[in-house]
Formats: sequence, C-alpha cells, structure tokens
Amino acid sequence: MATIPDTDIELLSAYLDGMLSAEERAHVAQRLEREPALRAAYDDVRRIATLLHELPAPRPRRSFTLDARMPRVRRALPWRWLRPLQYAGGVAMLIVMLLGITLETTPLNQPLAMNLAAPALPESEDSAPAAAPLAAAAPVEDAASARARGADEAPEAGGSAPLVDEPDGLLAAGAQVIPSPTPVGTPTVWHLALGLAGLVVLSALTATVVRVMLVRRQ
Amino acid sequence: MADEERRHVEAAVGGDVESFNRLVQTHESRVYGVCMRLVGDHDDAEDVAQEAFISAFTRLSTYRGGSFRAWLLRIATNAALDFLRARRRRPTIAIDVRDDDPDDHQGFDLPDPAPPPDEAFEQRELARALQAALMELPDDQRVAIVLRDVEGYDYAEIAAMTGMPLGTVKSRISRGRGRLREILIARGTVRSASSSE
Repeated sequence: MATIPDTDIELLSAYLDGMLSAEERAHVAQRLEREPALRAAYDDVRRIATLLHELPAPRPRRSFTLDARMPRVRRALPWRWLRPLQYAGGVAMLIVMLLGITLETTPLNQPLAMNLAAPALPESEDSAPAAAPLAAAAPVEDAASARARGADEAPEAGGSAPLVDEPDGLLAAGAQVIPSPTPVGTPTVWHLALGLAGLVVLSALTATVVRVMLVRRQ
Repeated sequence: MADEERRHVEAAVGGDVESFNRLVQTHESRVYGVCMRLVGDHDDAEDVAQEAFISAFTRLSTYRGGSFRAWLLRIATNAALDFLRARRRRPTIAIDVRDDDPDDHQGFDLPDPAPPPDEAFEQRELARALQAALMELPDDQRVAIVLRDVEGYDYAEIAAMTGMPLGTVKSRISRGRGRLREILIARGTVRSASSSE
C-alpha cells in the first residue's frame, strides 16, 4: 500500500463526495490519470466507503417507546405546565420591583394633595398659620366628605367663617378645597396592579413548590 | 417535515407521550443503527438509544423546527459519545469482534432472502471487520464516518447534527477514511488497489 499524504487523502475524500470546486475537481482528475498511487488510494477510499454504506442496518430487538410512568418522563410532564406560570411569576416580580421604584419616588397620594393644596396657602396664611403644615402632613381628605362637613358646620360658624378650629386643620380659613382625584379608601390603578402582580408571584411560588413536591414524590 | 410528523411534534411538545411515541416508532431504527455503529454493541446501543429518546422527550422545548430526525440523531450521537466517555473511565472487558460464535452476529442482521451459507459467513465476517475498524477510530472521526458513509448524510446535515463547522466535518471524514484504509488494508480485510497492479 502506497503511503499517501494526508492532504491528498483529504483531496480524494472531498473529490469522492463532490465537495470540490470545478477547478479543483479538474486538477484532481488530471492527477488521478497521471499518478497510479493516487488512483489506487482513491479506489481504496471509494471501495471502503461503499462497503460501509452497504452494511446491513442493525435492527433493534425492541421498541424504545416511552411510558408515561417512567420517572424521567413523569418528571418532565409537570414541568411543562408549570413553566409558563413560573415565567409569569418572573415577569410579575419585575413589575412589582418597577412599581416599588416608582412608588418610592412618587408616594401614592400625598404629593398630589400637596400640589393641589399649595395654591391656597397664601390666601389662608393670615387666618390659619398652622393650616399649611397640617395640610401638608395630613392624609388626603375626601373632597366630598370635606364639603359635607363644611356644609354641616357652616351655620354654626357664621357663613364663610374660617375653619381655624377644625381639629384636622385641613379646611383652614379660606383654603380652597380641591377635589382629590384619588379619594382615600378607593383602590387606585397602582393598587390593582400591585395586587395582581402579587397574585401572580404567589401562583408562581405555589407552582414551584408543587413541582418540587411532585419531583420528590417520584 | 411531513404534516403528520409536525402534528405529533406539536402534541409531544405539549406533553403528549403517545404522540411522541409515534415519532419514536418512525425513527427508532435509524437512531438505533447510528447508536449501534458508534458504540459497537447491541445491549449498549439499546441503552444509548433509549436514553436518547428519553432525553429528546425531556428536551422537546429546545427543538426549534427543521428536520426532527436530524435533531434526534444529534441527541443520539451525543448520548453515544457520553456513553463511550463513561465506558472508557471504567474497566470493561474488551468487545471481541472476532468471536467466532455463529450465534453472536453483533447485530448485523442479514437481509432476506438469506444468501448461501458461505456468502453469509463472508458478509458477516466483513461486517465484523468493518465494525471493528470503526471502533478503532477516534470518536469524532467515527461519528463523521458513520453519519457520512454508513448513513449517507451530506456534509451540511452532519454539520447540523454534530454542531461542527463544515470544514471540521470535511476534515474528520477525510482523516477517518484515511485511517480506515490503513487499518483494513493492514488486516487484509480490504486488498489495496495498488497491490493488484
């Protein structure tokens, strides 16, 4: 058997499989005509490839179908329906984090009350000096209930008498009561979103726990 | 991929074991054949093929379309390589592919109708010698030769199945063929064309 360089074997192998360019192919064909050793090597390689291809296919002695009771198959099953829930949990967690950051910089209702009350402060400054800080610190008053209370107390105080002595100081004298768009006790969109996200996170955690229990039980 | 196969794949991805079993029945001969050529033993090939199908079922979510058979064969090839690595790590009795026991035909089932006894014997011996030579190749070259010369896949398909670049596939096939030529001629299994001139 003539020894053929690896580079030539590579050329012959590629020639056999039609993996050469037209130019390379023509070059190899010329060499095969001129070089008997290369021709013999090519015939060897081609013959061995043919023998391998003609090997009778081994037949399996049994089937490889799966049984749903196989431990690894069972383990794969619950994971399939739990996974989407767990992904949703991840997304919900992200939403909760984003909401947390947003709420950290913008408290739910307080700034809104401060902003709305601010224009009224100069007018009420004389008659109710303590009203501003109180208003700023106080929780938002339901505009409707504030109006109702103002109406109830008005006759006793004498028409448009200042409400300096109001216990909560919110309706300070001359203060403009501006209806708040987010009345106390009414769920806001933020509350709903937070609640929903919390539910999804809870579901995802439950799904994870269930999956772990199922896997351990097997 | 045929519509029926696509439906089975979709159902199997949803966790339908019966649909997956239809796919197993379609491809098990091919998968087993590749496993057998790569590991060289019936029992081991069965274990590897079973492992490959279970692994395929548990990883169905990673299937991204294309040829399902190529995807399966990729898993089977990796399972066979894992098996071979594990087998090398533990002491075993070498597979004697020259065993003369006529009942132990190493899985080379002969096509029907049966050839005459002499011819059948020669075919069996040739098949054994070829399998023995295949087992002497490095794993990467054996994978390339089995997929190309035994199974008949083209270079691009082999690259997709093995995750190797096309150039690497080409090089492994040629080196494998060169090495097989040396082994088979040295053993007299194949008579070199140069010696007949």
